[in-house]
Amino acid sequence: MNAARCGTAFLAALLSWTSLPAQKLPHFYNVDSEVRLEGSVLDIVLEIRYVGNAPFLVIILEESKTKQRYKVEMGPSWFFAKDVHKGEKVEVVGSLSEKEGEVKGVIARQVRYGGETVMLRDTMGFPNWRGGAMKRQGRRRGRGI
Amino acid sequence: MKRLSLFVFLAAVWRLAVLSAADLTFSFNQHATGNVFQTRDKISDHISTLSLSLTKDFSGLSLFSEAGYSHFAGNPGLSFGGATAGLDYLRPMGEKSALYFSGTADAVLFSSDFRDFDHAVLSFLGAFKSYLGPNSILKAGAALEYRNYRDSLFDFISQTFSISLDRFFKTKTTAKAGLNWGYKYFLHPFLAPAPESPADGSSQGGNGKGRHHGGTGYGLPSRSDSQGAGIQTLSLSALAAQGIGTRLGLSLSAVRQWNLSGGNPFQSVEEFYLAENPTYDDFSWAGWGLTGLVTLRIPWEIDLKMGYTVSDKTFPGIESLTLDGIPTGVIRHDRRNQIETRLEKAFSKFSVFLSYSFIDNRSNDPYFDWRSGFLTGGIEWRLPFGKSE
Repeated sequence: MNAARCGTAFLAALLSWTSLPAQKLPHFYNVDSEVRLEGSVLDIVLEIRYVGNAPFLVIILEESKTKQRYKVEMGPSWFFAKDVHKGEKVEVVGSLSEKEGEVKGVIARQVRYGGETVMLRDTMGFPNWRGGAMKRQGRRRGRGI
Repeated sequence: MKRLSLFVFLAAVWRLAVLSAADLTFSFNQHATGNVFQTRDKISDHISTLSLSLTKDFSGLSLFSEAGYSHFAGNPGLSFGGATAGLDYLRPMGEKSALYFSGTADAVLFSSDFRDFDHAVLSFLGAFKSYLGPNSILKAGAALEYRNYRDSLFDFISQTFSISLDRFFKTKTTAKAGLNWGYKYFLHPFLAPAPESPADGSSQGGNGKGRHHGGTGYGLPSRSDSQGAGIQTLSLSALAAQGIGTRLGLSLSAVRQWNLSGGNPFQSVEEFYLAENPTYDDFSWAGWGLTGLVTLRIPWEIDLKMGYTVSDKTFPGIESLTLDGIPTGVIRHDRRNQIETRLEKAFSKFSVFLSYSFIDNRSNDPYFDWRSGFLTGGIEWRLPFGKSE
């Protein structure tokens, strides 16, 4: 009985902890401003996007229909895990963010090129990337492609 | 009381995840195979694999940990659990280049029959990637690994160096070439001299379930000193990939590997399904492989991959044996044909996949002449906590 009571208390504590407010950031994934873009990669850079985090892989994308340019933020570890080149046709699903100069910003959650789909974030914008990406690549666990 | 302890433990993990804006990933895979030991014995199994990983990012530094358990329903002695902890660090060098470092510690513990395969691993990885131009990428890497097994026969230290260069052309074609050098040194792979025993099949070791497989019986009782044994390999790889729009990709890749010196120091090389056998890895063979792969986005936003691989491998130092365990005087040689297909669908918080592969392995060692299928389904569920960057 006591154990059950303690368990309930812990569950209540868990619920209170999980409801802690997330840190408010000036640059965040907004599901209401999600767009789908298709275009070509004009440039690729590695730059700091968030204070206290690893530098991000960023691509400059020119949309095929409008010729509008976008600065598309991918993720930190993907600079090593995936190879994107200038000229490559890319389809991006992501959230529009603030303009950087004349170029619109996009935080990508899904990128597709050459038949490969890379899920960078979930539909709420939470990152999918994990530490140890390079090690995981070389690991053999069962069959599969 | 046990239940209370479990609550406390889960609460602590949860609390850590929430406060530190960490990412928790849960995955469950269910495998079915008609040949878990990949031999002519064709012992089938159903394997359930559960894993949980936790990652926390600091400035350029990422701490990661993972724990998992694989249960082999038909061969419970092969069930194993493992844990990994490590950190990696990404350091930019200008806008087009970066250095990556990681250090990892692993531990794997098997159930009863395969306790000799229990091991601890320390590994370090350094890598460099640079865009030489907007269409060309140079990658270089070095890795060092030390493994310590319960059966010290398998202990080794290995190092590898790799370099690759690719180029993307206006035709949407990517061409890539790579060179890889590796050296693996088994610290003490030879058994101490033992009184002579009749050269029958049982001297191959094993646990009574066949000619080979078992946690013991791989050692060569021919050397009395504590000398080690090294094996050195060099491989060349090439890849040509063609993107057709964003929804279809085709690739053809080839690898050629040479054995520069040394050989496998054991009596046998065996590759199990899912569980690592210390006698088999990328150092243990010489030969070539050719892979064709189609990746396609099909209706309902499902990713489809279909591949075909043919490989031709010899195993330096490993003699082909008859089914009675009598040496034939020739090096073991395998020719393998493999088809694979995989379907994957991502939902908002989780992704699911289903994959099937069929392997036809022809070998001049009849024990390793086999054909079998492998089916896997799985789910991966991500539980991010804290800030949404």
